[in-house]
Amino acid sequence: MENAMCGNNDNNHENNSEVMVAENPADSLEAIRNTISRTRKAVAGAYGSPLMMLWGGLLAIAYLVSHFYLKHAHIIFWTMAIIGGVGSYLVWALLLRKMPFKEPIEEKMNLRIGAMWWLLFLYVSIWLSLLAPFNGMQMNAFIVTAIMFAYVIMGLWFKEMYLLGTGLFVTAMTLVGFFVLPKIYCLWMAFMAGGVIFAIGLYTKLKWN
Amino acid sequence: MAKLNHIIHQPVRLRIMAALCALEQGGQMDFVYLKKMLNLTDGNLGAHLGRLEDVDFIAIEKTFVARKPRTFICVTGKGRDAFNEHVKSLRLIIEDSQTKKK
Repeated sequence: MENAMCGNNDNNHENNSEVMVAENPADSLEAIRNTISRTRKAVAGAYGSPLMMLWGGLLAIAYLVSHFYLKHAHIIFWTMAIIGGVGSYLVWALLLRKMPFKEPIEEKMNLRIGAMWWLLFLYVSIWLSLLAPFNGMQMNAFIVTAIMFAYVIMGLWFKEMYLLGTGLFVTAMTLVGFFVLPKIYCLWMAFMAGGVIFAIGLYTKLKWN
Repeated sequence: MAKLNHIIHQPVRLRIMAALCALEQGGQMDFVYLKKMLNLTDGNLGAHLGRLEDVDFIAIEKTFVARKPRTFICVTGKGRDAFNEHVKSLRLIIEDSQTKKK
């Protein structure tokens, strides 16, 4: 009964809306554009924001602690990398259960993205061992800019402006910290790298989901 | 003259199709998420999905994730084609009206 009523309403509405849409095709196109944009942002936010928040938060803490205990920076950052790696795996496993979207190319893409990050890790490690000795700040700036380069690539790959923007912004801030503010480099990076990545992750989670 | 699709151009179904077509081909969206995103009730969304399913524009899959029932919806190839045609028609109407104005 209820369905039948809905069906009748639908038919009436269709006849009316045919006229309405024909008179307002621009409004219909605008509604389509808005819905598509919102959906794409929601997909990007659902996948990217938890990981950005995790890594941004960890980076901010690692830089802050390093600012006060600079001698132990390498231990602090290795600890951060291990926590981040395990945390990413756990977050991803949890996400896949709760995700409101299912993408058919998900598994292939996950493998490719994972492979890209491992290759980047290898690339950075090899260059660091080949070009050593670096001082701590040089090493750090190199690692951060290499990771941000991967953000730029992913931004271009998936046409995600927020990843592209994050990569370019944090790279620029790293260069400013390295060349202009070397004395407060770690403190600067805690806010301008870790803080910014965390904030973008939080923004996309709250606004795009 | 551009031909609009009668099923798709109903405003709610237009947004449902736009949301589903924004996903990759074969991509699925959770019923509850779609309901929240479009600000609809269970009954309203269900009725419109039923209408779209009747003409094979969408496919509905009921499944269990972590022992909880979940419903995922995806647009079919036929539905995607119809939606793209509909968008083309809307653009044509706009172009025609602009040409007439000139």
